[in-house]
Amino acid sequence: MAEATVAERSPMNPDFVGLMPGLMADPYPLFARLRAGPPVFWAPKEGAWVLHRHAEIEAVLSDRGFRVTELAEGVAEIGERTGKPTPILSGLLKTFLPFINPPDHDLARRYYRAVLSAGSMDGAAEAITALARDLLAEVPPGGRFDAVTGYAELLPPLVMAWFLGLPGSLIRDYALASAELGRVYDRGCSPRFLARMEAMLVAQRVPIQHEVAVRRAAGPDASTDGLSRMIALADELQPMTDHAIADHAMALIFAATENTAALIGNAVAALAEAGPQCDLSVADDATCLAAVREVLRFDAPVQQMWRVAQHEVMLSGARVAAGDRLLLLIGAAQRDPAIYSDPDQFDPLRFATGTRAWRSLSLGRGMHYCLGSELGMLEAAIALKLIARRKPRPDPAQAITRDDRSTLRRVRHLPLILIPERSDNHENI
Amino acid sequence: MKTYDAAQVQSWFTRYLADFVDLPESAVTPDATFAALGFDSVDSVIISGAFEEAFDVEVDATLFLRNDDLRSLIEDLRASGLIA
Repeated sequence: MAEATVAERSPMNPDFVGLMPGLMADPYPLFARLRAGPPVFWAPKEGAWVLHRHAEIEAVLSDRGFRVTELAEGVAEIGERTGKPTPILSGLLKTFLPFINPPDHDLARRYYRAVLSAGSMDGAAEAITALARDLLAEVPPGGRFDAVTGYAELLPPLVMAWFLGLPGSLIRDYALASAELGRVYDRGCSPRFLARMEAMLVAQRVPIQHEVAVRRAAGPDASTDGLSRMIALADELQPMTDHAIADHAMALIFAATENTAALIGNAVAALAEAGPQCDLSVADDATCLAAVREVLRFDAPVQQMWRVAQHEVMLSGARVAAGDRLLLLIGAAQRDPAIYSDPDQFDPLRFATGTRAWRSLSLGRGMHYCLGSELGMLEAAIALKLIARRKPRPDPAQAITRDDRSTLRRVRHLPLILIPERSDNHENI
Repeated sequence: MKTYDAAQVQSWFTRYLADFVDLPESAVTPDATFAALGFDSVDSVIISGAFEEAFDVEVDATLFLRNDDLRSLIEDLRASGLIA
């Protein structure tokens, strides 16, 4: 039976693999070539259907007949079979919304949504601005500055520390220690890698669980910070141990820092690489937010998503069977010429006029739409606005490098030269 | 970094993969694709793990995904410097 089904899978692309090193460095030329072929094809090397156009990907993301792949299960199976169990990593992945399905998903989403509810963001813009300014104050005379290691990857942990009411150094250390954790979204992480992540999480959870215990002991009215709210909401919605709350806090921090760091880094890189004709040095908040939307289209952090079909379905000529896996090339859909004119052009003002609808898929769709999107985009817009005033340009003496990862596209080093801060900058913000 | 010779690594893989799928070693030729041998994605991680233990290295996550047979895997390990 299985062989018959495989034989029926067409159209087929025998060579496609979504993890090729060249694809990670610059996936867009390949995406352009895929457009000349069928919109949905079977990739035997992936054991999955591959989708690359906006229309099919949007339809699949919006359809509850497709479930996400449950990473925790695969990681747990590897741990069992190799004798290197990773219960903390598996437990953390079970609280991670992009990789869990209903009913667990709905309960966890309700919880995170309550934690991130509107009132909790009061003062966020001011806090983010102050933190970003502090980071830019560290730019040395001469203006040479790595805008990833000195800015993009530091700001989101500091913002989460502000949100949760925890020491900035604690969250920064966790974010930097867990920087490699996102590789588990890519396929094939080895048992030694997973064991290394397990050991990292065991160590990193100690201080966070301690903070939970301190707040629990102090009682519900002792503090109003985000972590206290997580405890109070857990007691209200689904009573949890300190350990489980620490897991949820760690998942929240991880989700809120990694993608946002990637978004800020990709945004600043796009701006710097576009050259002087792309000048946002006097741009206002709305223009910077529009520019961030364009970055989510032009060079989205989340490049790939996976789904599993729950029932047989025809997708643009391909017969997808129940149980088949689908690889959604989000980065390709974001440059679909059927949706966007001149899609390979970075145009920070593309969404600034309000005449063009923003239909990004990079934050997901439907029930998996990113819960932290507003906070993440606010952080990125402020970060972009403040650094744009320093007219960043690439440092010709050093190369811009990107992570060799397929799911998350992220600048690793972004050496720039910034002009000195103008004394009137502060009044303009 | 410790290095190994290609024959040593190839012979380890041939023996391990043959055991894994319960086939004679002669079935695991350098050109036999991992898919044809019946490995799924979790299997490939298990194989990575056994390789890590046998040679005391941590392998790159995409090693098995970017190579679909033993010949290209060995070449890849040579390019990475593990095989002299």
